[in-house]
Amino acid sequence: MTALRVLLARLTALWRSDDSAFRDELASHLQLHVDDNITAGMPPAEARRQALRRLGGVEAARRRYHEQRSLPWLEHFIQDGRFAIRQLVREPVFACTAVATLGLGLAGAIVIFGFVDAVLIRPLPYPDPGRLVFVTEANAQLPRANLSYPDFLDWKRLRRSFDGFDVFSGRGYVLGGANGGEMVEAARVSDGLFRTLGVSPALGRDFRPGEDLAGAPATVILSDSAWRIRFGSDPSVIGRTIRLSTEPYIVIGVLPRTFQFAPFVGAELFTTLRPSGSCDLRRSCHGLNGVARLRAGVTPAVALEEMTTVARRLEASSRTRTAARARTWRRSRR
Amino acid sequence: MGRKRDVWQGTLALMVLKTLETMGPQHGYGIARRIEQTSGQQLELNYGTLYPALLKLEQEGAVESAWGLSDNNRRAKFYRLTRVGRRRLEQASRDWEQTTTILARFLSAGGEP
Repeated sequence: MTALRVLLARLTALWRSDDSAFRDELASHLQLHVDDNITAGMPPAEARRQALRRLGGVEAARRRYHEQRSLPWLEHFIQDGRFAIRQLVREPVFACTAVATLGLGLAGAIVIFGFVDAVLIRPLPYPDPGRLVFVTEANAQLPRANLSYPDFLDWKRLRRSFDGFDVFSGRGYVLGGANGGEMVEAARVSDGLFRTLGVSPALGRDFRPGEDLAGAPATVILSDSAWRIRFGSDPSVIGRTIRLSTEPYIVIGVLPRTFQFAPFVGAELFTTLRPSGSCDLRRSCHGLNGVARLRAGVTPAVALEEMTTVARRLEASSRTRTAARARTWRRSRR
Repeated sequence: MGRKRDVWQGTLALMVLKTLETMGPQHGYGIARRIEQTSGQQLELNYGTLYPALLKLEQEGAVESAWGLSDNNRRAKFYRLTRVGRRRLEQASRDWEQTTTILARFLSAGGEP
């Protein structure tokens, strides 16, 4: 506490750098000493000399006093700063070069930090991301393989540890526009994916249950950046029909600005699975990524056990030879 | 006669405080002379070091200063002990007594178990 008080006193003294008060005190001290010496019988000149000697030098005394009174290192620092600024003012070209170099370095550091922050430091933009897990299959070739659609359906039906279990898959579409087609990245998702992630559209609505089944109407949800860049932030885009790879899709919603789909950062559109075609319907075709939200109180180990049991049961009752062991792992903070 | 020793730095503040307690308010020169006297002329005090020490005590709140007139009507800056200074003096005195008692035990020849 006293140290703080002293520091405060010294800082204030730094401002009011007037040592004349001490000069007076020193003069007074010498005078008193000289008086005593004269009283003791010394001649005046000798009295003064002796007093000065015992003081140890006026300059030294002043210096020591000054060092205690203010903060010498700070004073020197400020002096150096003033000197540096004077030099820079005299050499403007050098000063500009120095500033430019500093600016570039700073810009570089900021950019790198921004990247690292967005990718590694910031938490995922989903509520309670610690409870989200990836769901994969394990088979003879790969310990962590994608899921097939029929497996997904079976597992979804039989699981209990998950609050939500959904799949997604990357996909490219040709977006039909006034200037012809343009390739855009998108993702096909099961109807409950956004609910599982804990995100709901900022405009319009989410996919309804069943909207991902074959034969359901073709609907699409836009990402916020797609909505802003391609559709000019126009709210009336909801309900509009757009062409994706020559198929008509109805826009039903726009995702919030803060949402980013981590596995496919570039996904601009989200459509539903609506399985059709050869790959979707075969159990041996593994094209889907699974994500699930653990039920409250369920650990990944428990969920893993449950799913392993489910998978074994399915394996026993199915006629395929693919050995499937469900594995989960926690989606980590990246 | 023994040679005069230099005043240890840490103890100077303590000596100043004690002097002020005994003498009452005093100017820097008077404090210095009194310290030398109290030590039985065994200590030679560099008067130049006294003033930074006094300043530090003032910064710490242990003493206060004010200009006044000396015995022979010279203008001088007088220092006096504050409550904080008094408390600090008591505490330091206790610590020193304890230290010297313990040391004495060690240094007395043929120390008892």
